[in-house]
Amino acid sequence: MTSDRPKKDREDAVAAVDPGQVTRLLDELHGSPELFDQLVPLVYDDLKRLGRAQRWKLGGSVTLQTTALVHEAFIKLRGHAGQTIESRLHFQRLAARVIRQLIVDYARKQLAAKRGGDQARETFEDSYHAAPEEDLIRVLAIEEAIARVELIDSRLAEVLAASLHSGYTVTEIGQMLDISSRTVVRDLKRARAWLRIELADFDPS
Amino acid sequence: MSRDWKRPRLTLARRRLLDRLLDRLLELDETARERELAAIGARASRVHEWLVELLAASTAPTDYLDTVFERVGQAAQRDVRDRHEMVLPQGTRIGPWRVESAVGSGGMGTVYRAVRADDAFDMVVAIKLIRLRLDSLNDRLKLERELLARLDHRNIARLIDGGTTGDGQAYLVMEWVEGRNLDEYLRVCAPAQERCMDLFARIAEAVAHAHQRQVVHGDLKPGNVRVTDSGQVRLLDFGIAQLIDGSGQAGMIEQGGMTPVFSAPEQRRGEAISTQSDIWSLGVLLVWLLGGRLPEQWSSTPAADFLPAGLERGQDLAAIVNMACREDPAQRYQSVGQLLEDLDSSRRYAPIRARAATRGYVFGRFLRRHRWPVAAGAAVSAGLVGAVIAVGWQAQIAGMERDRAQVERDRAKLEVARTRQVSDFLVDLFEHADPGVARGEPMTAEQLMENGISRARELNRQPRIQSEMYLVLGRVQLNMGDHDRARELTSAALNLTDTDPSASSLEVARVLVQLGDIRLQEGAPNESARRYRQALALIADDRSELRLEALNGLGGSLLSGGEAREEAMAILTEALDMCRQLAPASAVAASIHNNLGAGFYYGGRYAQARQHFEQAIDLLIARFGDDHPRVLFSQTNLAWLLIELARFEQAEQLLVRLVESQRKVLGADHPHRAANLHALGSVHWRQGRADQAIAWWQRSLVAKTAAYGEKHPDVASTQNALALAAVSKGEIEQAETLYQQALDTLRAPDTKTTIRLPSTISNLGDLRVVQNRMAEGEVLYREALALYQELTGGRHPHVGVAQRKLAEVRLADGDLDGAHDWVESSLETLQAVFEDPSHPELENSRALLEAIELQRVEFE
Repeated sequence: MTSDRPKKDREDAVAAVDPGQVTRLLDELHGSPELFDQLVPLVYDDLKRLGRAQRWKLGGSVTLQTTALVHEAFIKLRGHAGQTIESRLHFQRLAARVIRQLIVDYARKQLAAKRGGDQARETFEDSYHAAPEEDLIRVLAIEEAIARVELIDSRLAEVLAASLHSGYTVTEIGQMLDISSRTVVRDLKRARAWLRIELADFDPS
Repeated sequence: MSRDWKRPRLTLARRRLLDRLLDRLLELDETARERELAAIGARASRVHEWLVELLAASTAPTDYLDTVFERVGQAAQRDVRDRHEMVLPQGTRIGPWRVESAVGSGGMGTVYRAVRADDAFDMVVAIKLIRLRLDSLNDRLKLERELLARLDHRNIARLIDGGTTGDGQAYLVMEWVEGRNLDEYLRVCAPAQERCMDLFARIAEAVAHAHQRQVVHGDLKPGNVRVTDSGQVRLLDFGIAQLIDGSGQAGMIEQGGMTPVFSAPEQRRGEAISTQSDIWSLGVLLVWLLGGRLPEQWSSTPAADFLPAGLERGQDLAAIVNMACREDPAQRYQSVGQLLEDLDSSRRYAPIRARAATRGYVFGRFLRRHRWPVAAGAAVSAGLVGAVIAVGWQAQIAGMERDRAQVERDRAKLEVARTRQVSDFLVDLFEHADPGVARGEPMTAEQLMENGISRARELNRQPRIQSEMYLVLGRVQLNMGDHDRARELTSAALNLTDTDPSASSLEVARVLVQLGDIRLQEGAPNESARRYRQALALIADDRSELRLEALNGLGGSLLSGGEAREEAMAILTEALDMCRQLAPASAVAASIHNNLGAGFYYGGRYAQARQHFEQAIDLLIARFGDDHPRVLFSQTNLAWLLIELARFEQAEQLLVRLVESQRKVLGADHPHRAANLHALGSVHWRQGRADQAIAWWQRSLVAKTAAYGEKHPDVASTQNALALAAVSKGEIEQAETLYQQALDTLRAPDTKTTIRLPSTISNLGDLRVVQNRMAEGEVLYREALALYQELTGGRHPHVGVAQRKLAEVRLADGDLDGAHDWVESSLETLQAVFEDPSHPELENSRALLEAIELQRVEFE
């Protein structure tokens, strides 16, 4: 995030993503914020696109929020990816999983705090950040439902989560999993049917 | 999930089967699907039931799922952002600065300690990297930085620099203040109540200084107050809250920008913040400083209830906090100055504004302050007073600063509680009286004055003392708004001094200056100019404040007369030069600045006018506090100037505050207030809000008619404005009537011609143009232009606008060359007036010029 990096460098870097490089950087990430700065440009486009797809209104600084998100995401990615990251598509799959996990972790943490199990609400700001409690409960219920769908068919669950948590489009999911859009549509239809059944008495509507 | 399911759980094998069947069914068309389903139903009814349900579920809408994840996703993202504030490593360059270390992180972003990168000079600064990157923020930052940089107060950390990093993040560079935050200071040093009150007063003074410059703090809290090792207070982060608040980022508070417990209710609701919001925060800060334990969130319990028990003057403090923390911003103190005044009064056991100013309370205070019964002085003997004055006079003159006594005529009713200079004078009389004799009913200031006058009349044998008394009493009468009484007393003083061979020319001059002041305030500038000139002739070689006052009075008179602006400006400039050496921070300095400002304003030199008005206001506030009529007067000038400069938002803010203060200090129908009501209408009008403009103008018309009667140039100017608005609403008949009324008044032979006449004529010209009566319109415009040129000397926006209008009628007539000439004159005039090349009037003329040139090209 040094201020004097020319914009052109960043574009070049994005154009030349080398998957091996991502992995190597990942390994060194923890101790070194400068490296982290180098990483951001590498995935900048992905994240920008991701942010757009999610329709997450970034409420201000794309750079900063995305940066924080990437930071968190990569730390989680390291956990997921004991393996090397093979391709950009692979990265996307991992990113989708990480985002799902971010949301679920957050819901769990907030709910625990709200139910008084955790007195760590040190600032007033926390209460402003929290999503409505019923949303949090719902996110966790959906998570359980997806886990059951995963038992039936793991791809079904992945397609569903990519669509729900990360807001990926049908085309994007198809590319990411190397399946046709038609298959994605079929999967999504079934997955959502299962989800509704699983949530039937959670959401009587 | 721990809840009971309506249906028995499905085994995994069953689920996989159902999924496979579902997949197949979904691929079929409807008839085939029905057939297949029926076949399954015949073999396995349970499976059939499940499939029917799944098929129904597969087409049911699930939109809510997306919104859930959108909401939780956003919250999660904010959470992540807050936990991973980027920290710049040591050595990072931000503009010309080099980061040394991160020192803290607040709602707005991270703060770094930094030094000059080029080692050009030794300087440690605090850099605040604003967390949010808003497109609008940078523009705003540029604009407001100038404003913030003008805060120059020993208790405010200075803004040094600011800008945008290469990747578009805004930052502000502030003076680095060694020391402790207020909370730490309180914890470590545990100061006594009086020290806390002192700290608070310093903080409030700094806030008042900023408010004066239209800068709101917006985030007053212990964390934004530093106490240096030598015990000085320094406020940080001035105006930054407003910077971000005003950038249209309404969710800022929710994102943790402000500190809710110190934020005013309107601020917590996400509404616009104002100086009133700071007053709320100050109230809470006072509670906190005095050891009150604040709640986590405000409920209906008033802030004052959190004050600890056992405070000295606890009742006063509770009243002060309550007044600062009223739910409705309009009900709070009107200014920080008022709050400070109350604290100060409370300390001296004087009455405070926040407590009901009942007579019993006021006089209870009065008595307590003086510790012995002081009441009616009816029995005070003339001889005794004479003796007192004889010995005490010199001291009294020195102690009673002349300029402090110079309250405008407008403060018609003076109560003992509110006019220290009057009461101090009278109290002095009483304090030297025999307390044993003073008994009886409490008296009003007016009654006390009466006694003073009758006592002075009895001083026939001591003409010099008598003339001094008359002079002082005349001054007090002037302050109380009784011009006749003031003139009578001062003239009597002049007679005595003039006929007294032992009187020095300085003494005579002083009486003459006061007479000039009275005549000027009465609206007789020629007469006042004569008096001032007489005084100046007597003290030609003198270099005293008196000479300054006389010069200033003469300059003001000449400006008011409107005929000798150049001479007036020369005199005022001379006065200012002299003043800079003699009495740079005096009230007369303020007055000179104000008059110079007015001169530049009349002459259309707005940048200079603004400088002088602002200097006048600074000096006046430092001297008299926020709500003094003289402060309001100079602020009115500034507000009008801001309108001319198209700084509408600032003008509106200032005006709203002004009409409110004026209502309290001067009364609802006071001419000055009526004029500001009119100006508020104009602010709305200039921003295209006709209905609001009309509402304000109508209020102004009511006030003006009450103040002046129906036939008065000021009334005419509001009629003119309302006519303009009527035209815009298509109410032509109404407009014609209003224009007629206004012009009747303005063209009356005994009415002095002012700028209002051409302004009304020009507006009527607009109406004729709209009605397509071009020839009539042009005649009116030409008349207006001639009058404008005559009245302003030609270098004035009105002249430029009139020239453009003439260009427009010429253009409508197809006379491209004529139109071209007029619009070029217009541009020339306007460019000479406005420094800002993007001023809307300039843009209008430029646009017209382009249109004309385009037509010319097409024509050729």
